[in-house]
Amino acid sequence: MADRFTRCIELLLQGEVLCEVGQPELYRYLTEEHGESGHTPHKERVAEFLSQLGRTLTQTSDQAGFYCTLSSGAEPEELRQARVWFDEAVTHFEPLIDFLRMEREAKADPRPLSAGDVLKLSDLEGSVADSESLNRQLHQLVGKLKVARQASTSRDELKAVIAYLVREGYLKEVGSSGVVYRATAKWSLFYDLLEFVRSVEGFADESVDPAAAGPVQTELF
Amino acid sequence: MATFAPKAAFGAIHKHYSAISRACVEEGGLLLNTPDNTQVIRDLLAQRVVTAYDDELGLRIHGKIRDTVNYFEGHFRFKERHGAVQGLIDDLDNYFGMCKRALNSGQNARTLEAAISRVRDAVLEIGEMLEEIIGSYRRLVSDDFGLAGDIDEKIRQTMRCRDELQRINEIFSQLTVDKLQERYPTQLPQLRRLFFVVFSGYVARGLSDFNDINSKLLDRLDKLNRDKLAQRRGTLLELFARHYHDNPTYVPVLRGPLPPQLCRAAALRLNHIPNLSADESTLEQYAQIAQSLGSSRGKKIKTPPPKLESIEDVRQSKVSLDDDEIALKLDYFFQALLPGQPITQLSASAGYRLLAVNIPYEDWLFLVLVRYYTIKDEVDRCCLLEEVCREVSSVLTGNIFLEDLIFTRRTLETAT
Repeated sequence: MADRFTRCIELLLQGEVLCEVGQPELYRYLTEEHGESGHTPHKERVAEFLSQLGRTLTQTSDQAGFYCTLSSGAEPEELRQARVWFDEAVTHFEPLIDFLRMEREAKADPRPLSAGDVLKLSDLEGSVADSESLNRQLHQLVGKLKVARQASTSRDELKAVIAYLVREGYLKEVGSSGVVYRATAKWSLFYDLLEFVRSVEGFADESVDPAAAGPVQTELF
Repeated sequence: MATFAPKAAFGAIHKHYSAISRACVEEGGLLLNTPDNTQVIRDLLAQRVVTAYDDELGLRIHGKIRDTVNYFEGHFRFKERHGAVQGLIDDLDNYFGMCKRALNSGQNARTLEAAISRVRDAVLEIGEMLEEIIGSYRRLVSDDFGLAGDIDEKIRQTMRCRDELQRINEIFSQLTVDKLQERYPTQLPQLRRLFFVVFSGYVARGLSDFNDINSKLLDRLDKLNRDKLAQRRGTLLELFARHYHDNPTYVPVLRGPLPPQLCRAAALRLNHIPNLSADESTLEQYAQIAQSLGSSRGKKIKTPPPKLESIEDVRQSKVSLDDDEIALKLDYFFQALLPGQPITQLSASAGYRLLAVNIPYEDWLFLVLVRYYTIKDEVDRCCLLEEVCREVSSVLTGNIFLEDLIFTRRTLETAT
């Protein structure tokens, strides 16, 4: 079994987003303030190693996940591949946004799903079963994701969507019952992408009604 | 000049409320005489809302107005009190000084009693103020700045609150029992009780409450920041959802460069990864190998394997050496043994040292032995070889462990 340093490097090079949900032990390793015997913090050690490979250890803007980006001075071929990844990622915006809005509506909580949040399949199922609107949204989502086209019930459709999100690393199953899931920091990266595209496309925030964006609960204590 | 009238006075208060509330809440009622406040001061003076306080400093908001503003602001804003707390502690220092002077000068008992009474009042006043401050913080923590609707405003207020709390906390941190004993050295029972029982009790309870409140404030700050992030993300989702609704075929196509944080490195397919924690030199080698692999990846150019200049394998004792240099030194070594040279005895270890051979001694010994057997006949004519063996106590394996090789020039005696 490789040590934590090696596992971090391996997974980061393989394109994983390391977070508390997906790889709790490695995430703790990276966020510990001090390395062994008070030496260089692990994060710096990993970053230093990656820098020798022309990679940078990057954190999502909410600090929930670590992933690998290209260092400055990357080869044109590497930049081209980064662009390929980006172009691929933006093609999934619409279904993922639909899922997040559906999930938010289902749980009747204005907060969109974020890294670390718990998602219970039974709650989603119940809400979808009770709401014609959510049922319709789910059906459209299945079509956009191109999963479970043959599914006959909304339950099957929902399971197919969840399975897709688990496969893509957005959700991680808690236990093995297939009932409870937790959101990973891939959502954080997704929100960062959205924010970047919004700034480039020049979408104006003012055009959105704050109520529609989800009024944040005012009672804090 | 505007005429004074109740309605006009309320109008002026309404018009300049921000400046008035800031003066009441943050400056203890003092309206600073700054260029920004010129118009404010002119209007408020006309309506008798402020009174002249000091020509240089500024003006003071009228007490009634101040109380009213504090009453309203108190619901969601806190007053900065660290200055007042420090002022009371300074007073306490002064009164303690009066007690000491009364004692030292041998004044009558009434003077001393009056000074002690002042100390008592100051201690009680600090206790009351502390209680009031803690109470106001508790209310703030529990009512969530209810009147401030905007998250940013709530965050700003909470941060101000936290900063102020830290300042007060710093003041009281200087008043722990041991520091009080240094600050107020006295043997008078009344004063000792006031300082080290009553006052230190206030301070201890206050510090404990401050810690609790501070922790709650930090929790709330975290929560507010999370709320802000959630709100931001909610806005993003709605923005894009509407855009997709209005433009069903929309796919973001960006021409410009990607920001560094979104320039993701392509995933490497790693079937196996060695233990990277081995040691520094190994890590460097791995990095070099990975770099060379990385730079050639995708180019499909066959590059020759790197030429390794030397490989050390301690198991087989195989070494790649600079043949010319070692061969030359071997030549020198054996030339010294040939007839006509003044040397009578030469050992491999001495040769190793004199010739500054830069390979391991064991290798040198081995090469000398090999060369000896190559030119054995020639050497034997003039030298005797003595093998110096090291004693080996382990089970006999048949191996001979040489420590040195000593060549002694043949003489007439040895020749026989």
